[in-house]
Amino acid sequence: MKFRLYIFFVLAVISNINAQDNAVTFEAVLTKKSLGINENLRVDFKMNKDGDNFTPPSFKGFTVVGGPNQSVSNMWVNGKRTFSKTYSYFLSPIKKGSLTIGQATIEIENNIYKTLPVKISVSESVTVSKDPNDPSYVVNENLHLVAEISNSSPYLNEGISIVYKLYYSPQINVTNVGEIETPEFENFWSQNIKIPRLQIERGSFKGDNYNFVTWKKTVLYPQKSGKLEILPLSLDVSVDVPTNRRDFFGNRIYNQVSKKVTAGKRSINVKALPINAPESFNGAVGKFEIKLNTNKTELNASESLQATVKISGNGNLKLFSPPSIQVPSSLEKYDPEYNEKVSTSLVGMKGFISNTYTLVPQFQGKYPINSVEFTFFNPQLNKYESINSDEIIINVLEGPMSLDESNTNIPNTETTKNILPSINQFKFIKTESDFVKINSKPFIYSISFYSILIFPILLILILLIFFKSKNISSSKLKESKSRRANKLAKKYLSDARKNLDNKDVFYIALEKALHNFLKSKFSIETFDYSKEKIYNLLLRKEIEKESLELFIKLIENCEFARFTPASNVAINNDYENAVQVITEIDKVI
Amino acid sequence: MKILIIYCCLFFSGFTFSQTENELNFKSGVELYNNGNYNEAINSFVKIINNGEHSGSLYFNLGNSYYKLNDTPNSIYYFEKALKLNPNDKDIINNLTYSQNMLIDKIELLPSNQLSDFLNSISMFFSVNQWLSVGIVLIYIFLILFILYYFKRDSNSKKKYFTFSSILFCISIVFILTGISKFENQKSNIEAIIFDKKIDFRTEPNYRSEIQFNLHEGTKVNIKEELDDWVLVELRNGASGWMESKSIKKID
Repeated sequence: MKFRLYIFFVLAVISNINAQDNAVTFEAVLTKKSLGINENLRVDFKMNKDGDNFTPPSFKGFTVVGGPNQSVSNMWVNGKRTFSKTYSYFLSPIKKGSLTIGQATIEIENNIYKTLPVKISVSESVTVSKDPNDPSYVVNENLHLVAEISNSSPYLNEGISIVYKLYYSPQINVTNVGEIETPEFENFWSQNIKIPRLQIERGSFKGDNYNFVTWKKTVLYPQKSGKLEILPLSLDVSVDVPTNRRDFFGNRIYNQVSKKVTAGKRSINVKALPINAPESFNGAVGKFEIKLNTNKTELNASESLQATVKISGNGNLKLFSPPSIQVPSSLEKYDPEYNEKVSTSLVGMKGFISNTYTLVPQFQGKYPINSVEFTFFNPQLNKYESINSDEIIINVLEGPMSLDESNTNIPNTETTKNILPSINQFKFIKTESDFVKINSKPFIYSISFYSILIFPILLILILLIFFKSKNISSSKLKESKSRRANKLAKKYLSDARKNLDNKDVFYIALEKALHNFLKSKFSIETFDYSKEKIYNLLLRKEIEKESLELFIKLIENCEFARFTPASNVAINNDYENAVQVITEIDKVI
Repeated sequence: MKILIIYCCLFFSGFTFSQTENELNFKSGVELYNNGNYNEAINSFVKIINNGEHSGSLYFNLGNSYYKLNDTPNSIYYFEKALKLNPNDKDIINNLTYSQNMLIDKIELLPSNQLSDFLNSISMFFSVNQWLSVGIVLIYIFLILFILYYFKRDSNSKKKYFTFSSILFCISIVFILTGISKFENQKSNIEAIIFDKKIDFRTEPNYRSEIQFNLHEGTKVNIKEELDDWVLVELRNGASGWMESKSIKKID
């Protein structure tokens, strides 16, 4: 019992000692703090107690070449136990300058421990020692990455190719290749050509026999003129390097080395295209052909046809669009459908691009599709070349002739189609013609024009003037005639006038004068003087009613006066009336 | 007197000779056209023009021949010329529509007011000479009626003749004025056809100025002004610009 108690005590002391020894360390250990950019670095994260949930830092600025490798050591020295667990990483710096390896964390006994961040300065690449036994030297001498550029001074938009080849001497074996840095081809249109399987070929490099692998093929089309840079491609290559040692069976022992190889920066001098570009140039560089075709050339209105513009050849086919076609405005044109079949190889793009337009004619007639001009720059000949497609005529056989007729004719076409095939045909030429002299002076404003116009006016004027004078003479005639009548009346009435104061004699003379007047004018015998007879006679002679009535009245007055006394006023009045009536009647007859 | 008669005979015989020659050319042109030899048909039609004579039918036939050869600007040019001589020929209008369907440019007409449209359509009814000659014939009828009016003694018939003659006078004046205004209109409105495939319209009559728009062959334009080798033209939609005069051909 006592012994048991002793053991317990000892154990307690030991554990106590252990507890006193219990300080946890977790630190980052570097192989070197300053290195060249072509060198590698090992970081060990060491802890003296086992922990869980190790998280490494992000290693920004480095690529992890190897690791993490884990190693655990447990040692007992003089009864003292030393434990250490290590996570190691092999790092390769990406850029020059001051880099920091951040904090790694680990969880030990529910506490989280962190390492301190470590600063590393990365300098220019360090010349590697020329020790032929140093594996990295051997690798350096026998492994090369080369970028081959087909043309370092192309024209703008002229295709060039860049091929990356990894050369290695037969001494060493490449076991693994990984791309660290893929160049971005800024200001280039680029297309990778897929390499289905890496193939080892034999070639020579700087006079020595080498094996090489074509790692990457890219076709580039510069999009900017001037000096353009292609950033380098970096590969991480694992190489087996033979050492001087041999294994048990006499075979060489290989040392595995990881090596970063870079194809240096390349610059390309892109020439701008000549400035005298024709108008129809749209950026095509290469050698092309143009073809314009339609799927039919004869159709009816409101049916559709397809016209295709096809550009085929070698060049930057994907970087421009085919020229558009020009059609008459009465041909409805829809947006084109783009089609391309372009294969890219090291010599550039090859194939065709095409635009297919759907056209719908509205009216009958002929529609020319003008030939399409296409201009490209031929880098071989250093000049612009313009090519033209054929012109195509589309014949629309049936349909309305113009817009206004298309509206009215549509309902009729169905019924009248068989009887009248089409009213609006292109009319045949005229078979007869009357010719006139060209440039015959216009009739208007000519002398004959004026004279023809003036002639009637003159004629009217002459007429007016001539007949005016004739009129004047005829009116004079009238005047003299009436004067004569007046005289006549006075002669007839001269007896009556003499007896103006003697009533009885005056009326007898007046009546006699009136009768005499009638007698001489109408050759009436004196015995027949009835009023009705005189009235009818004068009426027949178309004498105005007024003077006729006055005449009858005068005769009545004469008859009346023989039996009744009358005043002198009536006598004077009757005399005046008689003169007037005789003058009037004489004028008419 | 004898000499005069001989001269007259010579003159008329020469006249009739050229007449028949042109008629023969026309006949052969029609035949060639009918056989499909459009180029040769054009040649024999052009011969008539070179002889100094023309007609609406001749220009119509030329337009047809060029249409058959797919020469849009020439066919439109000759159809328009034919229309100038025979403004109401249905066949010319019909075939001109066919040619115009081949045009690339589509020019929308400006909406014009109805009154001027109406007046235009009336003046389109006859050519200038037709308007004038009808007017002159009417004036002479007026003259006869006026004389009749003047010499009639009967007051009733006098009245009738007077109203008739005055109405006729007014109508004849309207006809002659329409003819004159149409002539003036034609003189100020010089039309031309574009013969270049594509032509730029500029803001000023020089190459430095900006390009406003471009037109294609066969489009009809109105010439407003001329300056050296440049003309200011107006389109039917109201747009105008300068272009080189060598690219167009006037319809006269």
